[in-house]
Amino acid sequence: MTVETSLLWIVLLPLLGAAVNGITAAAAARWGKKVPHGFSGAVAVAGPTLAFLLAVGVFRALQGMEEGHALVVNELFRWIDAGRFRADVTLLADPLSAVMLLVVTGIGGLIHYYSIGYMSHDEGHTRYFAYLNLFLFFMLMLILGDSLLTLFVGWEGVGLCSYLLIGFWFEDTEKAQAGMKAFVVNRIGDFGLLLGMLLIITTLSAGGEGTLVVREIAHRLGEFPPGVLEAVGLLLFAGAVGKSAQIPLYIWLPDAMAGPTPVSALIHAATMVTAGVYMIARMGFLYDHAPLASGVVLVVGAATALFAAIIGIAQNDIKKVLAYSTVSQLGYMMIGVGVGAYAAGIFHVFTHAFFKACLFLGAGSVIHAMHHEQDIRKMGGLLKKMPLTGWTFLVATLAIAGFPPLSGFFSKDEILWKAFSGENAALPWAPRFAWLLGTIAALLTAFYMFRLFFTAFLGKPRGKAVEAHESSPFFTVPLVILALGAALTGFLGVPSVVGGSNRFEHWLAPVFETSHGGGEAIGAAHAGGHGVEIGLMAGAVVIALLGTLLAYFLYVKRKEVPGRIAERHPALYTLVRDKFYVYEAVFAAVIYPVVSLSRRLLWRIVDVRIVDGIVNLAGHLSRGVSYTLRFVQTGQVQTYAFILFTALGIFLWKVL
Amino acid sequence: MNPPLVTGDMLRAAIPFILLAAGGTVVSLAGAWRSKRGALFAALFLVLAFWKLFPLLDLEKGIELWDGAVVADRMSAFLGGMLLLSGLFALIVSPPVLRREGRNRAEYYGLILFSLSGMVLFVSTTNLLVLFLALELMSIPLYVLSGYNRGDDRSGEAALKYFLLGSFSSAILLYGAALLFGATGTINMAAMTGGDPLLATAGAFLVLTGFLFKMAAVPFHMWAPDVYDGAPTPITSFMATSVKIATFGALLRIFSLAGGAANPFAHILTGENAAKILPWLAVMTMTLGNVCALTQTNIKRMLAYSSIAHAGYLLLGLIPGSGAVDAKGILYYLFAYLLMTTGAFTVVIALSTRDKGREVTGVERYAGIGFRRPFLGIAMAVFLFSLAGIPPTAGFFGKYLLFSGAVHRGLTPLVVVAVLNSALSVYYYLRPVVVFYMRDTDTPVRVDDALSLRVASLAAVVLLIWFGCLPNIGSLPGVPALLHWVGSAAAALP
Amino acid sequence: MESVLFWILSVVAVASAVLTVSRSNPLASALSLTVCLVAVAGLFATLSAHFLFIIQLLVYAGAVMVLVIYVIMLLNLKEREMKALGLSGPRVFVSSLVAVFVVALLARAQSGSGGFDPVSPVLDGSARRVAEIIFTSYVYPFEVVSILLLAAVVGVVVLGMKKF
Repeated sequence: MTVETSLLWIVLLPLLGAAVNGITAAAAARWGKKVPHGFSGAVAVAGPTLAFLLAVGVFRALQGMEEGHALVVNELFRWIDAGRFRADVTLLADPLSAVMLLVVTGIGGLIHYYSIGYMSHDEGHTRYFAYLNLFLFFMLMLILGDSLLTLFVGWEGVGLCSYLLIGFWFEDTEKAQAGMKAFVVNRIGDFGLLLGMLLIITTLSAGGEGTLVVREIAHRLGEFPPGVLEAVGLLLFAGAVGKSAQIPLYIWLPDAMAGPTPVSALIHAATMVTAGVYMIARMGFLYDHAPLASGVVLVVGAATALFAAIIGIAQNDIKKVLAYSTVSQLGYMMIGVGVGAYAAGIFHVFTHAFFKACLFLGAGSVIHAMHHEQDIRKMGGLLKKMPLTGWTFLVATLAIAGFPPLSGFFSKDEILWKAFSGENAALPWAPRFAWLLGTIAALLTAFYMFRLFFTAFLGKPRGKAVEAHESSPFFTVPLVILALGAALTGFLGVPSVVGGSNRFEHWLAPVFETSHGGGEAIGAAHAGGHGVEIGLMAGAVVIALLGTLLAYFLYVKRKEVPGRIAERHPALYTLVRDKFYVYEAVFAAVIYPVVSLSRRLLWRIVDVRIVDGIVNLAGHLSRGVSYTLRFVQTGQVQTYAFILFTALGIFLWKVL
Repeated sequence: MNPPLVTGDMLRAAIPFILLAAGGTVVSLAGAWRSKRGALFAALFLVLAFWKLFPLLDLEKGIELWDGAVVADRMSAFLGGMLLLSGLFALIVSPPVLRREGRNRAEYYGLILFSLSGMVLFVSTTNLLVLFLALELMSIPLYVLSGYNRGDDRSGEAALKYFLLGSFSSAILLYGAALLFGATGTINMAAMTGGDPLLATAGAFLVLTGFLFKMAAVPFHMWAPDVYDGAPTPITSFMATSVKIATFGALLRIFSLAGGAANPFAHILTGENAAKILPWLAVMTMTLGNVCALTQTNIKRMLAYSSIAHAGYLLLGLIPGSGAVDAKGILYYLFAYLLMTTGAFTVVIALSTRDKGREVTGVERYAGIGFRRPFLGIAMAVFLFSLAGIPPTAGFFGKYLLFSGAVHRGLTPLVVVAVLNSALSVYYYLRPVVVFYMRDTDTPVRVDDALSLRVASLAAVVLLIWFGCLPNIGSLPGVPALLHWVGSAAAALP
Repeated sequence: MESVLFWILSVVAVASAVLTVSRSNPLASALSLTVCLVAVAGLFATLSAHFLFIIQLLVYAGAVMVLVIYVIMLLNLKEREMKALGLSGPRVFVSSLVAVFVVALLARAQSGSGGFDPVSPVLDGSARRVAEIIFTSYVYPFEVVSILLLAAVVGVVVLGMKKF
């Protein structure tokens, strides 16, 4: 099999799995039979596993190619050929998509495997696996498509699967509503993305054929006036804000935790939500020439990183803590791509996928063992009861908190260093500002993560935790693999300053070399900053330690303190616990006005008066017409003939 | 002395017609033995005709015989294929209906084949004499079939109305043909040049009127709602699709002959006064069709008015504007129209019930069907979305082709009207969907679960979405895409 | 000679056509129609379309009219019902309006272009010639006619069947 064909199969295999499981589920529902659990699980796991093996092949092939020309292209078919607009479906693998490919198929495969255990008691498991495989297919389309159009198809597709899976237990109204909320909020962002794409087509059509192929856009970047570049950048970022859960559209992600936990791990932590980061990195050549747009990315990312971390402190639902931590980490990634350090941003996507998937799956294992108890205050002592889950959870926690030499340390530190040393032409203060917020957020990250760990895994078992026991190998095997990944992947990106070679950045460098050399150039500009870099690194370690110690002090040593703080500053505590009322604020600022506008103006006046009026008018008109006709008509053939000949007479008079 | 009467070429060109006519005869004959397998026999002949038609799709050069009496080229082959598909749908969806009413006679299918043979002839001739005969051959069986439901008064009424008005329109067409012959001295439209402009214009316009009646263009549409409503639903479905395909196909051929300014039909397309008629017809047809459909509560009548509106959109493609007739757009749209209309009627067939001999097709009776019969609900939603022109369905793509083609021919004001009309149509197309899903009643609805109805609607759904999402890709490996066929058929016209 | 014949036959045809629609007794209408058809057959003869002349007499004036009269007798209309078929004020009005319109249309059209100018092909309407072309160059339409008639017959049978 050539590399090109294997690229096609990587995409097709999950689709095939989705089809088999979908048809089985439909057939089973039709004839009221049950699908054997092993069957749908095996089908579901086979696709991603084989795809992963093929992805490794593609990766090796890319490695074997000459640097700067590492490309695998498979032109599949012409999708739309309607004269002046043409769109092909082409799969493209370059170093950037290869990294994403490995993450999606590899971690995706593990989570599928994990799902077999997690969903073992669920009636709808076949449907579940069909959705999950379908998700993978769309995610791969998103990554491998060579144009923004295929990316958009994948983008909408993963969105669709995400809503389906969030609302998977749709018998539960609240969960169905969470799916609805994700859908609505994402529409706002997607609207921006769509407008951005249209703007690209319109601009390019002025100088030739309109196209959405990324390489073509990069090639013809000169045709964009600077203002349009900024506008395109901001509009595309609007899409990323929705999908990657940035301020102010992040509100859907915590609610998305209503879905099954493996879904939270795969879609709402490791893969789909990073699509916005991926898209911006992919369009990096554009953002390099749009300083204002990058500055906005940077600031929004930094604000999100800090803000979500603060909210994370006061959450008691284990999945909510992880959800806010995801939002916060996505903020870091945005800082990375916003400052032009695309490699660093993607590196964090890569490491985050491991430790966050591990955390979520660990949480899932706990929830499973605790019979769907999610409140960490009702857990405790789980490290003894569930050693494998506990220890892997600890490794991932250390990674996310940024302890060397675990992966999170290298990737987060890389981003913060790039922010510290970076520049932005439009908003000169933004990089340092982002660095500052990011550093504070790092402290909070360590704090809330260890708060979670200490409360849930140490101390005395409380509630159902007393009877909890270790989960089956379906749970633990993926956990161990992911924990190893969380611990070790950092070594791929050890910066040169501490004697590493940063293989990750070198691997991605050809993709971003059209831009100003990624982070490398900036690093060179601050060549004198080696000492600073090491200093910052040390500072980061200290900060992580500080956060951990604080958590230890508050939640292990002096457990009464948090309660006292909450008592003494009830307003502050409620503010943080209730997520700064952002949802309420967004509701008040956007949704409520829109709803009331639509209710008052659009519904009462525009709809009822004008639209309904028009419709009613049309109805009256048509009734009027039929009344007029009925005067001579009542379905009589004579009248029909009369009208026929009258019309003919009038037309003949006109014609002759 | 004389050329041989029948050659291989002739047979090759005329064989689809011959097979269908022979099929009609044989199947009708089977009725004498009260055969219950009429549909099967008819389908056999249909498939045979398909098989013989297929090679014609790749015909490099058209075959013309007997002074334009038979013109076989890729265009006629493509149109013939669509007509046969429409006939095939009719053969598939009819038996359940006829069986449950105890009227499953072979003659019914024989008449369908006769009608089809007339249509196939209609789209593959430039000879006025043959054109008229073909018109009658396709219409007379339809008159009879409209009245096939003899338990229902409305069916007989529909047949009579259709017959009387249809005869008038045939007479008008015939009169036009006579005037054309008088003006030019030939009955082959391809060979007509010059002649008295007055006679030629009048003749051409009268011939056109015959077509306008058959396609139910306003103001020659009056028969359509009554006939569509009264006829048995499978026949309504067959009529609504095949007659439109046949008339628009034949008009495409005739109008494309008008490239030379001396052809009588060029007067209609480019003449100072006459050229204004077609745009007005298009606007009136789509607007009146949509406006009247708005208030219909009977789904069959609603679809009847909607088919009038679709004739209006299609007329848009026939207006040359600053270019030529948009054969590609029309062919694609016809194909989409065939699938979505047949599909919608198939669902209506599955859901319709009889009350004292009368067929009941009120929209309100379908409340909650979407949940009780998920497949039918989804299928109907797809058909109605496609009719409304919502992506990703073939109906959307067809509208896109037609409208964008019209814009490029400088017909922007007409396109604005058409788009407004489409927006209006969404309102009544979505209402049945709303009733299907948003309302619920406790009254049980009897649903016909016949396999053939499911197969037909599934095929229509799959093809509609396929052609809507992937217009450039064949639905079977090795079979070129719809757009390819459409393009190659359109290229066969002069 | 020919033009005199043409005028006589035309006047007869138009007059009998008017009688056809204005008589209240259907039988009188039918007989007027027969006269009209015969007059038109005469016109065919003056154009030396002999075959058409014979066919017009045999089929229309003969067979079709007999059928029409049969139907009228079967209907057995009452005196009162017949009255409703006759001429009345509104009908005369509308008919004359239509007539005026047609004349106006023709006059307007003719004034624009200066008269009609039809091509007059040399026609040989003899039975021999008609037979020749029907079975050579028009063999295809001829066969189509046979299918058309067959389809019509089948249709009539279907409509006429007592029960299915």
